[in-house]
Amino acid sequence: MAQVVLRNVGKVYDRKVRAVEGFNLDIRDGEFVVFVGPSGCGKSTTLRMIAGLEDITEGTVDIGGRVVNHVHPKDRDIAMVFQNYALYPHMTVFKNLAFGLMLRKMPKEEIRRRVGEAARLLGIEQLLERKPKALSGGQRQRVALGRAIVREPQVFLFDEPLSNLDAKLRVVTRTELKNLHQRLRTTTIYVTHDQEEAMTLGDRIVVMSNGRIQQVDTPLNVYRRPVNRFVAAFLGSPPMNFVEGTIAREGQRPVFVGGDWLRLALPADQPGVAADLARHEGRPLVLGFRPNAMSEHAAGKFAPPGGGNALRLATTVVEPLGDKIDVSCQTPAGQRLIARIDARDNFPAGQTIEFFLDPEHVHVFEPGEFGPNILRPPA
Amino acid sequence: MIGSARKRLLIALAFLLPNLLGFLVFTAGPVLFSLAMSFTDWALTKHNSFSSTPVRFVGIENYARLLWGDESGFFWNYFGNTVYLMIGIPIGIAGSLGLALLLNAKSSPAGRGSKAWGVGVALAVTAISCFGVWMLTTPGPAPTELTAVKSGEIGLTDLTVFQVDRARSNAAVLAMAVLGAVVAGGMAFGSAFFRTLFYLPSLLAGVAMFLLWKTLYRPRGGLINAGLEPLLNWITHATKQTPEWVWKAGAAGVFGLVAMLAGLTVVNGVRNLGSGVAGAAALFGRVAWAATLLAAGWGVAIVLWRVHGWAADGLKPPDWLIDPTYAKPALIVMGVWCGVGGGNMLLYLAGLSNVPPELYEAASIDGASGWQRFKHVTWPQLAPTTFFIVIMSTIGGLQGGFEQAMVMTGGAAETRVLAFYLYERAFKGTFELGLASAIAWVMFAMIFAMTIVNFRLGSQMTND
Ligand SMILES: Nc1ncnc2c1ncn2[C@@H]1O[C@H](COP(=O)(O)OP(=O)(O)OP(=O)(O)O)[C@@H](O)[C@H]1O
Ligand SMILES: [Mg+2]
Repeated sequence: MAQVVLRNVGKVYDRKVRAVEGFNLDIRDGEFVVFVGPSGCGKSTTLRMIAGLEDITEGTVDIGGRVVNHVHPKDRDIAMVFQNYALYPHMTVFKNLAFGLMLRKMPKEEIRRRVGEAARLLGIEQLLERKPKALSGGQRQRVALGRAIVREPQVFLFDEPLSNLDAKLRVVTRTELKNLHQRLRTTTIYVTHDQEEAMTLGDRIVVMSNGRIQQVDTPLNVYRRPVNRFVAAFLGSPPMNFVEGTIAREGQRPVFVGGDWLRLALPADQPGVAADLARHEGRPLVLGFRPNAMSEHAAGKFAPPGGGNALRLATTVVEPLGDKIDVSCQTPAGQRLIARIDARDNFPAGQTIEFFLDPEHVHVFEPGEFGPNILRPPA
Repeated sequence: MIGSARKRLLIALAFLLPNLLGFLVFTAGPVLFSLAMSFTDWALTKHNSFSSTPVRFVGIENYARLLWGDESGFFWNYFGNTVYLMIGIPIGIAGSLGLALLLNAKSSPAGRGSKAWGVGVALAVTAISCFGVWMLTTPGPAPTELTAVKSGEIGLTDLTVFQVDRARSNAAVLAMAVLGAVVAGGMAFGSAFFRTLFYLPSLLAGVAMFLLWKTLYRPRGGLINAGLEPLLNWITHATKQTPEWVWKAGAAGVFGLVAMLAGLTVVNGVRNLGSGVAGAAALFGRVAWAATLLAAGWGVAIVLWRVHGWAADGLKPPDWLIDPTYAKPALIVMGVWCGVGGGNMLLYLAGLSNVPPELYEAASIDGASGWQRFKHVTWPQLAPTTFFIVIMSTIGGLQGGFEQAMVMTGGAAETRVLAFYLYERAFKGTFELGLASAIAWVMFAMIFAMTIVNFRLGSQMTND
């Protein structure tokens, strides 16, 4: 096991396409780190540079205290699982698992022992004599995993290993992956564009966009304290609601004003926050809040002293989810918002209803796709 | 409903009719007719408008004549020639695969600037070296030579030497220019250029190509011997300088080494003998490999053993198409050259582009070297392609060889193949159409059997 350190890593394809830029990351020994971001943001490129499948244009990659920029993939002591599994089609499952060990001239008994152990761990013992063609997608995925495990590498690299599985199997395998990591404790780097996968699997999440890191933190911190509007919008489902407006002052309190229908008193109890807000007074800003920061009831945290957090919105579509419902609403300005609230029977669609917003769970961003969060609550 | 179904069938048949008719009249009819003919004594010398002898049904007599009767000497001899010439097939397939691998290799990432630079350098180097060779090898102006001859300084024979030199210098300059153009073209257009270049022979008509090669193979003045002569002279010279025992020791050494390698291969195979059919097949592969190794080693050793003796008389390039020993190898070399960049290469290129790149990446991470990646990824992935190519080439090899024999050697006995034999019996001498049909059907039977065997072996190989 080992730590992986990336310093100012950058990648330019064919001297013209920039895929990754200024990538800095310290991955601790035994950590499970997930790269997440929209398609084409450079996740795979970064992973492949760590694996040695792509040349590193700029910066250094360090695995276990050794700079590996010019080390061959086979000597980096890593194992990779590909999206399409890349099993050798003409070899049996046993040979697929044993291949890397055989090439390394490991004694036969040791190979048999390791393959047997991995097969038991993954529950594929009865498949060892089959060819990949005769396996289901889930079984192939396990074999691919087994091929990585038998090598006992310092680092596991996964590039969207679950995206070829059906939804149910994906959830099951996700849990098993997490279990596996807890048993083996091997440093793992995992690429996905699925934010749910990222949240559930990662010790830390690296959110990327356009070849740059946007934020690195634990899943909860990234969710609760996004550094900018991009991260806030990317994580969470349904996505965060955004309302444009400005900050004004009512007495001593900063208030977010959105059109003539929203006047939200912002929490400014923490030291420094009030000053931050004051600096942005009068400028165009964006208020962000997650759908579950809304409620039908003006009680508890939705009933702050000072109030002003009631929104009158026209409901359009109602989607029941069990004990919650997603309500699509329209602001008087015509913008669409989504509220996730406690379920109740006969929720009226097509009427104007009063919602309440939890002011402790709102964010204020500067305008623009990557506008920084100026109300980022401290950890 | 039934009526309309029948009507639809009739309409469909009407549309198919032109094709169907063509097939019946020009393919199925003649094929069946030839089968019938093969059981008769039909010969144009006996049965024609001037003689009223009826064509007789003779049963399997024609087949008997071919396989063990009076014609069997010819038949088996030409069959042997056909098989001999098929040696070129595996060589050609290996060559096609090699070319495809080369052309498929990723060209190094070079920007536009460096590409133009490379082309310029290649052209400049070529031009300079062509000019240099021209200057160094071309003798002075003719008038000087003539005065020299007149004044008795050089004899007429010396002048011919000069002329030969000039021809050689022309050839050398030409060769260099072609080489330079190829390098520059490759730099400018990458592998697309080479793909086109290698495919060119397949676009030219076969006979035109054969005539070209006939010129190349001319014993005197042909480009091949013009190139071989100085090389052989040099070897002769070098050989005479070394004592004979060195060569014999070398021969013994080479053969010993090869024998040891072959032995080790087999012994290792026996030691690792896996279970069941797969194990036996692997061992069989090793034995075949060892036998090939031994044969090649034996060939090299023989040459080394004898070369001193040969050199004593001076080594001479062979009279290619004229010398019975070299006629078939000459045809094989030509066949490989013509075919190596053709359809098989394209099939392999297509096959290679279908190999998922992740397989190579996975193998690379698993620690496979270049050769191991070829052995464990490329080769198995290409197995269906190879299978197809082997089957088609075997069929072509058993059927083919007629044009080569006709054009290159005018049908010299060493180059006659079964197809040529068929032509000769049917359209020459006694015009024995019955016998010729029998030849055709025997060929068909052999091709059919061979293809079945190929299918059996091949589907075992590729079915995983
Ligand atoms: N071989 C290549 N040559 C040129 N550009 C490339 C190459 N591979 C990737 N790119 C470009 O680099 C950028 C990053 O690609 P990358 O594959 O890393 O994205 P990704 O985050 O893995 O996306 P996805 O979620 O779709 O897999 C993209 O703009 C892509 O077009
Ligand atoms: Mg990707």
